[in-house]
Amino acid sequence: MQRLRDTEPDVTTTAELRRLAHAVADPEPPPGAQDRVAVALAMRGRHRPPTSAWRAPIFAAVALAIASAVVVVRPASRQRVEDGRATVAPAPPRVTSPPIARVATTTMTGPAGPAPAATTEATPEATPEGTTEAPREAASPDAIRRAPSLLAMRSEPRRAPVAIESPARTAPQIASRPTAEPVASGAEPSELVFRGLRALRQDHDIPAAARLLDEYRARFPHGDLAEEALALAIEAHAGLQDPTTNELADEYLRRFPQGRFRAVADRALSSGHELP
Amino acid sequence: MRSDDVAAVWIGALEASSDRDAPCDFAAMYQTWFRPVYRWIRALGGPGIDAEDLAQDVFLVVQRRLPGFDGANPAGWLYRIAQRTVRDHRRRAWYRNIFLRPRDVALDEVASAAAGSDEQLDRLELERRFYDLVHQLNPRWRNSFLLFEIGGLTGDEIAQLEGIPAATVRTHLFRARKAMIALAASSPGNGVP
Repeated sequence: MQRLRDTEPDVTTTAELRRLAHAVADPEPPPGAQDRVAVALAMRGRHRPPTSAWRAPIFAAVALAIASAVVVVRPASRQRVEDGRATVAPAPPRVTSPPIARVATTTMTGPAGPAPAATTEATPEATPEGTTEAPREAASPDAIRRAPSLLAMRSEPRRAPVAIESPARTAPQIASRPTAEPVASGAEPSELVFRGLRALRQDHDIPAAARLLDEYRARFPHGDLAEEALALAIEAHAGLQDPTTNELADEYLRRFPQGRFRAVADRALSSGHELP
Repeated sequence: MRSDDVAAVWIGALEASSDRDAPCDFAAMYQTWFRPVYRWIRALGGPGIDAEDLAQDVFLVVQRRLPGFDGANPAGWLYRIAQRTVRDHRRRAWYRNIFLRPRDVALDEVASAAAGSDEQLDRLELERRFYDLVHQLNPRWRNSFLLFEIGGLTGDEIAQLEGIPAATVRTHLFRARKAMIALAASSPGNGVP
């Protein structure tokens, strides 16, 4: 069987189809595509989170519910144990917990708390609808201390493709590591980036990485790997606490406003690498 | 600088991010299979697809699953990953279009317009029409048809990738071709230059 684009245009409908098939571009990868994807793979590593950004809000909601439940249940049950069955706690001001917390409270007091009868008796007040009201003390010290940490942990933004190392971690490495081997000025463009990447990620030779990446950017400002080199340069200069990091990050956001390493630039700008 | 040296450098970079205990060498697999994978993605995905981004997704899956891969028929294994990646991408795009406001202008159209090439815009339009017709095909025939017509694969190669007999591929191609001719004849743009 011949391909449509190889057929003779003798029949009208086949000719039309042939014309359409001819218009489809050759699926050959463009120059530099293999290198670009390789750099992106190496930058992201194999621990890239799966494409499930929609899960983050669910995790955050679940974490919030658990945190609220813990906050509400703990002081109440502690007080019940202290006061015993006969003692009725002083009536706290009515605070109605949010629906999620209420459900969680009801669920968790059953198996975790004392006998059901005791729970009912010791609980200060029950609303007409049968929902237990959360004492105000429950929302205080322990709660407030724990909830934000849980929330912060769960609602942490999706891991950026490139982690900018803290200066405290990078500083000793700069001193102890040897510098990368020099690259001839006639080196392949992609070689500079890959050497830079290797110096940064594998050898942890940040000054050499910055030098290689800057060289690439100077020689090939619009090269195939310009975006990757700029993102890596931001990371390297941030590691060196270089004041030019902000400029690089600004440049990245200006040149690649929808770039895939945008998080690197945003993080560099938010961490404020400025002149001392 | 020889190209081998460059390859060695980036293979080193890839190795740094891959699983060293895997029975197959990820870097070698990447080097060997990047081009075919890219071509499959481009052929199956059509004009509105970011093939580089999807190729990256494919190889991320490869990196993750390589330790469990037995090494038999890497082409078929990679093809299945690529096919699922393209399918998932399309599905996500569909959901995005439902729940979010779809983009008015595709990015590659902007790039073509900037280049000022009317021919290129015409070609993109024809390409889009071609894929509109292809998406009306029976899904069982579609991939074989695209791999044959656009990907440039032979029937035997498609059979190996899809894991079906070569005779079945030929049947799929024949039926798909017949259906495409009918679709092209009835499409509103037929005969319009």
